[in-house]
Amino acid sequence: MSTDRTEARSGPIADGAGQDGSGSSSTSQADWGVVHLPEEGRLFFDAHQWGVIEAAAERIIPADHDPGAKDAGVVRFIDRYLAGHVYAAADGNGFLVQTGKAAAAWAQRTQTMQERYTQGVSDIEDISDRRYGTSYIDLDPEQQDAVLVEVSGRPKPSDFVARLRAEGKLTAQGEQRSASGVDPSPAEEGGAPPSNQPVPDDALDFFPMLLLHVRQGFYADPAYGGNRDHVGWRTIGFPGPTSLGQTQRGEFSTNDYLLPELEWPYTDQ
Amino acid sequence: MTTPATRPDPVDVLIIGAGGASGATTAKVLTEAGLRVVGLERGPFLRPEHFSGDEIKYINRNYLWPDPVLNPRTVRRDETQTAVLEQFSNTPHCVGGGTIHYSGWFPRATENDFRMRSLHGDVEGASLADWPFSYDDLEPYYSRIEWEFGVSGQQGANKHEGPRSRDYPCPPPPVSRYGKVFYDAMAKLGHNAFPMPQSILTRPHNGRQPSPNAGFVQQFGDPTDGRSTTQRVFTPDALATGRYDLRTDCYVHEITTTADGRAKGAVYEDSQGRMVEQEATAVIVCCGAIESARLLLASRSAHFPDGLANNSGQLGRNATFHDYFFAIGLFDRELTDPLYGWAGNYVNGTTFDFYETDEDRGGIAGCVITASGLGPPVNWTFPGRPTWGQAAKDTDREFFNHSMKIGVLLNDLPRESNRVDLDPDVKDAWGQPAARITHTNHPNDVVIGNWQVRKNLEILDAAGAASTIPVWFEQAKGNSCHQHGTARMGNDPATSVLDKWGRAHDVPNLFVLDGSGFPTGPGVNPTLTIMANAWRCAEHLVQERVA
Repeated sequence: MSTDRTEARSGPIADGAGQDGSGSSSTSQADWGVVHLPEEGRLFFDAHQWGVIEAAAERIIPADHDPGAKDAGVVRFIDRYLAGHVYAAADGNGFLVQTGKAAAAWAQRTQTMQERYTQGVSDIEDISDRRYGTSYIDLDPEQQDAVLVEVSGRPKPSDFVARLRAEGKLTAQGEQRSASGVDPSPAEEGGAPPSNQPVPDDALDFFPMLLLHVRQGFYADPAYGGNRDHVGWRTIGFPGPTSLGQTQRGEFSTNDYLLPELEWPYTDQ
Repeated sequence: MTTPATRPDPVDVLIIGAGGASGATTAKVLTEAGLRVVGLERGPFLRPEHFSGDEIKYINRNYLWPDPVLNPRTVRRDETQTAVLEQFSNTPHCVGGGTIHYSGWFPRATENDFRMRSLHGDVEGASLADWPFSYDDLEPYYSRIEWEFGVSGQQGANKHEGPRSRDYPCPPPPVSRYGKVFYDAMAKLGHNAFPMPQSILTRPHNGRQPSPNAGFVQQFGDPTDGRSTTQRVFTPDALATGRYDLRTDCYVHEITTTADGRAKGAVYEDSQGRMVEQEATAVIVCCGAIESARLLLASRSAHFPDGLANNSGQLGRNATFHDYFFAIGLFDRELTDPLYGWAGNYVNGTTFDFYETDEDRGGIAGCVITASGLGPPVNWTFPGRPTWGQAAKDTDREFFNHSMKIGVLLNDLPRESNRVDLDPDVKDAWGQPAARITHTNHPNDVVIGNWQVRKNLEILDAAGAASTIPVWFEQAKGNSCHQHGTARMGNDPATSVLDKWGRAHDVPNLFVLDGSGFPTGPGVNPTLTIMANAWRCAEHLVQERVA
């Protein structure tokens, strides 16, 4: 069984092996080809949709002393996904071209998500027009947040870090820490469920879907089009690999962040 | 069923589900003993070069996990409900199976795991059963697997471990910063803690190189030599004999039988959509406890109207799935050095201090716990995390490197009513009935699981967490990837499906060698025990054939 990938470099959107009958007839996941996408340009969104999602993403992860979703290129990340480009190639160079049953299943999911986004952008614009008489793109940040609050049907998330500080759980330097304490009631917020098993995104309503995709676009490997220049990773202090290829070649290590000099039982207590 | 277009020559043994932990172990043992074996694997032969540290691909977009549109499963709490679609207990469909996505926790079951019924007797609402053999019977195979896989561990560190005939082949990996915090807290509280044995190389072993500790472990395929998988170790061994014909992307529709009630072979759909019938002297099913039960139940005939090997009516019942939930600690960056939860091999410290029964906890059995990070950047989260706006960004920045969790692997008790059967309505992409899971945890599971969450919160508090957040049993969203018990091994054909060698009581040349046979699931990650038992049973099959 061959694992060679047929690379199609002739056009911006070219099919890999097995798509047009010119390559291998295998539909095995092991034989999926690779397509290379243009660095610029839109694949699914029109220019207006692109603008609305880019503006909304910037309110979901706003720029402050660190870059935000716009600087990270989150809208491109979402646009590529909605155009059906689901998996980066293992080395990060291009996207896999699915074939067979998997391609059909993803086409179904992609269509669901496309419809959700199209309607979602339309809803954002309707609310903006009703409240402010103009497009979401032209609103100021507070107005944009107010629209997102209405779309989400919930208040804007409050300042969690400040709350912990107010409760004395986080200190300024030199202060005494109070007891940690446990809040026994299940928390309402939190995005993804408290589990190692994320929900399928195509089952989400528009707003939670947008939140999830913006987060993904800010923190996913730059091979997907977001997290440009690792701005997402630098914001939170994740050193990350220089490329997926670096991890594929076994050249990425987190050893500098471990404590190899310590031996069991690892404690002086 | 479509009439098979092709009928290749019969072979000695047909393994269905050949890629995973039990299938590949069985293929290695049988082919090295001289048998001619065909292995059918429904998934592809993905190679290490297919893998890399791509969080979105592995954790969010199911590159390895079964596509829920193509492979639906349904779940309900009890028989009065209509089951609904749910992606339940995922394990990869590919050569390597669960060993491809696992983080390689490789603990042995304890001596008591094999005699839960003897220890606890009748427990209302549970169906505890002893194993038809003991820890001592399995110990030589534990050692063999550990040495084949180059398992890393600290000899003598786990004071609850059963007797060992050999040390671990590799020393433990470097301790992580959050691991150090865990060890300090455990020492402070007077508990025994030690590095979880892991099937990750920490020094060169059998020609393979140690892991670079890239940190992309849980649910990721490993592009390096570091993590031991059946794709990397046992499947190549079997292929090297020249007696192993491994056919990938081949989906089995049915196990066929002869008029006198023996297994004849299997009808499968190959990667080109052609129907093939492969006959063999013996058929071994290794699809995982959900899929093995599904295939046997779907393989009905005049001889076996309730499904193959189901004269007892026990096939599919007594299923245990574990579950996973945890306590989270957020730490003050002014007081605590960064914990770097993403560094190293996902888990670090563990303890068995809460594993054996202590009735003061309000129930029986107990759980293994492990210290880990909260996940890589995209999927790092905790209940209460703000989801958007400045608050969200501030929270990520404040705690991404100052958070950890202590997980609970729920040791759930078997119940006869917890079962796998065939969904009457939902079919998969090959037209076969989906597996339907009927499952309600025993009350003991809730008591023990939440007791453990509370204990883990105490440990985090002792570790100096600024804030601790519980994820209780009731909040857990969905099982683990562990499956056991649907075709129990036992000595009595009236109450068990398999004998102590994994052979179906009802069908003398049919075997099930995955976790289906576990009479009562061990509370630990099952892969090592699955592989050790498969080796033990496969070896017996060879010896019996020679005799």
